[in-house]
Amino acid sequence: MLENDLRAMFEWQATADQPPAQISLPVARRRALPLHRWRRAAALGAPIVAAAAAVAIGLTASLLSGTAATRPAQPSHGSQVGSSQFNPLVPYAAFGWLPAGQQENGGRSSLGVLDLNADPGGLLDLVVYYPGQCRLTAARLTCGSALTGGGMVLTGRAPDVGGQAAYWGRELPAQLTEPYLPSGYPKHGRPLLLPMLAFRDPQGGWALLVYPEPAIKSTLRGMTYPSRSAVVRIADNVRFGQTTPLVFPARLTGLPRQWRTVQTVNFTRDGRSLRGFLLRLGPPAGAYSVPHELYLDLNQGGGLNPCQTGVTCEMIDGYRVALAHWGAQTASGPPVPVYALTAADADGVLVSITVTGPRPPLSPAQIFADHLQLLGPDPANWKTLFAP
Amino acid sequence: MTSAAPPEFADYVSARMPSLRRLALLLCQDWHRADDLVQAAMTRLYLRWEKAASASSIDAYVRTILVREFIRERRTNWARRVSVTDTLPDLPAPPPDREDFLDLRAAVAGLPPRQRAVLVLRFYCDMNVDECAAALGCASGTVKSQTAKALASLRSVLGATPNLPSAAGGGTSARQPRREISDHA
Repeated sequence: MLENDLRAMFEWQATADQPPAQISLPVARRRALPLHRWRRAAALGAPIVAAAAAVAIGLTASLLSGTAATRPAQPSHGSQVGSSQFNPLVPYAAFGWLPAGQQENGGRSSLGVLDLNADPGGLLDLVVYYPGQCRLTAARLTCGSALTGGGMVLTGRAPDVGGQAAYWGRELPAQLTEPYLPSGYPKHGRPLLLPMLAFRDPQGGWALLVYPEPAIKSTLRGMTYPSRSAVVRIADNVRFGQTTPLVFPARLTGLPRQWRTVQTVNFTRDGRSLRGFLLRLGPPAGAYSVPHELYLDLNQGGGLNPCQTGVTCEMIDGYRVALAHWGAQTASGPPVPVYALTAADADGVLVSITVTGPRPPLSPAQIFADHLQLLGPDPANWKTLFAP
Repeated sequence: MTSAAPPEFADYVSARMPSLRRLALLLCQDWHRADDLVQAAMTRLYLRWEKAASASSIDAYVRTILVREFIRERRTNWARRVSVTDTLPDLPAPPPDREDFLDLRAAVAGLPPRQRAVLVLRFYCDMNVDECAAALGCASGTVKSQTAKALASLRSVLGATPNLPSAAGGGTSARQPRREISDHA
């Protein structure tokens, strides 16, 4: 019976060995405090956590595969690499103005897409696509791939933004995995599609500004909702072509060329700096083969001790690290080896290094010992990921 | 509300971390996202620790936070856009006589978030309909319909898979031991 199969399958999944936990209590506290202050100021209801904002997580091998196409190492500066993609290490855009109570909190950057998020609530979301990734028709704007792309159905012309045509719209219905109605929302069977403003960036790409509206208030009590004029003002004040690179509490040195290309990076605002903390380096994802990928997580130290039962712990250069390896299941073929290292507190930095694939050029332990320069928790000492 | 949770918060989180991660894994079908989800839930729990500590069951309270955060996060543009891959897994090979687990797991991963959450709560946590409804913040009828839809979807997807036995109608089987959020020794 299917129900029994489900129980057995869930039990199988749940009892599998767990990779080292990377959950950080200091990060939970740090992220909670601004929300607490906002709540107290707004005297409003349920806490809201920006889903799109940075969280400290460990990296496990989600096996993005691809042929091992080589790419030149990315420069530390310059928001664009060559003429075809963003430089994830230099976020291309930034909010120039936000309504009172909102603040830019970070986001995620990849070669083709930059996603910026504003707190509190995380529902004010700016997505910038590299030129050529979007297609505008009379009815809709579609961006990116069918799997991970975005876009919207056009609902009307908006005031010009940056001197160029802009459009109001709503999420493409096909992007939703199920119709969702929050409790209390009138039940007329329509899915809740978030509103958006689409506008151009000066180099020709498209930007989508997603904003909250009162229709979702029943699940996000206390949320503030910008007026349309405020939404236009936010868009009109976005600063494109930014050149400030992300800084990190550690620097990579002497890595093999294949690991000097950053595919994606999460970043968060840390005082006056934009700090990167979660990276995927290596060849681009593509056909289903397995390159050597490097995942790196650098965050505030002091998290839970990863040296648990069943995990190998040792000292490297005076730092206590947990080492683990396991086979990652693929849809076809044998399991792929994954090697991981976690240091909960290396000079105040949480370090997690994960490498995928058989016989990688460097092990996580070698990377930690010989190719990672720790810079400590003081933002004044943080640097770009690679030396210029 | 104070700005710092007491030491009991860290104690609770430390003790419950493995089971929370297991639950998050079943919801997210991905360790990467599972840790993401647990981290976000911990932030919420930190804000609400006083309320959680006074609840009749902290574990049930935290499970509700986790499940609702899962559904909320999957609904946002962030979750859809930054999905780096639709494949997954870093899971061990299934038992020798249960290769069908791979197909079933893939089918569950393809369900919408709410349907997936309902299946996890009912068939892993062994919660009844009313308990599921309370955790999800919806009506009992919604839980029943979501369960039926989820099972029907799985049967439809798996019906083409020759190894999986054909499922009977939606009757219940013998009740399994309840899974609270506690660390399995």
